Amino acid sequence: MGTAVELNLFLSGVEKRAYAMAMVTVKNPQDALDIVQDVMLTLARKYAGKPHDQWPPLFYRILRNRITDFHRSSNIRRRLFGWLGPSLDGSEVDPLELAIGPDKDTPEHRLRMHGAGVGISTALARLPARQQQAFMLRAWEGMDVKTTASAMGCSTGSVKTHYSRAVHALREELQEFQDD
Amino acid sequence: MTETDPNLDNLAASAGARLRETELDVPAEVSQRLQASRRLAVARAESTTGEGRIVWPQFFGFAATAFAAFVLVVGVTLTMSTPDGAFPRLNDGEIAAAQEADFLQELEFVAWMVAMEDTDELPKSG
Repeated sequence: MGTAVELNLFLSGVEKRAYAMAMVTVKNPQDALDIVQDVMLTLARKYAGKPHDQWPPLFYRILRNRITDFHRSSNIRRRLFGWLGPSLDGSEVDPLELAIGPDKDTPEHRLRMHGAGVGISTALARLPARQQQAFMLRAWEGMDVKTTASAMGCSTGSVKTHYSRAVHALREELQEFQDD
Repeated sequence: MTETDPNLDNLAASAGARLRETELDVPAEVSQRLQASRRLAVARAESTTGEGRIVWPQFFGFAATAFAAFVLVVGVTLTMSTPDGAFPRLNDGEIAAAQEADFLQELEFVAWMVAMEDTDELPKSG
């Protein structure tokens, strides 16, 4: 069947990127995998019949919504059960593990974490959500402004603003790529 | 709208290219899980858009037609069927209505007869 083959091709092209993007914000491999699987299933169930050129913005819009849902439910869980301890169900990540400390911010560690890419990923994680999305979709995914606006559910002007602010906020990390 | 420095734009493009390279380097177990998720999604799409899918408007059309035919058959059967093949039994109301109709017909007949007699009693011409 044509749609199944096309969908398989499309998903195989974006699945690792979507996982990496989810990892930037949720920081937990299992949560990132769950989110990407949910996005794939939602796209297949609801939008497989849509024209194929609409799949990329739809896919990234669903991804954004799932990540937002994840953060929302995490906040609620933290408020309700935070006083019980961080690792009650074993799913919580120790914040100290995520922090960039002297032993993690070493050249060896950076090399192990995919070189300069980790620097930009870490800096991306500190950006506001909309700036993150704009940078990821424009620079990482390579979408044009119009498609990015469709994926983010905002105007092209807003995309340009968010992207510009993101690039300015990341300029220090981006300088690393000047020497490459 | 905020303008972006072209130099920063180029650096962002380089960063994007680097991120695209690094994203491919995922652990084997993550890659396997992504493949499994993709297969599941494709199977879901096939079941959603494939030939095995039920087309609900058509399904409801067939169901409604079948139900109407069933109601019609049951209705006709119940109306026509009588014990031992006899004629349908009439209740008191139906009998009274039939008798009333006969009585009215008789009244009309009598009225017609009277009218005819009156006509006969008219003076004959000539």
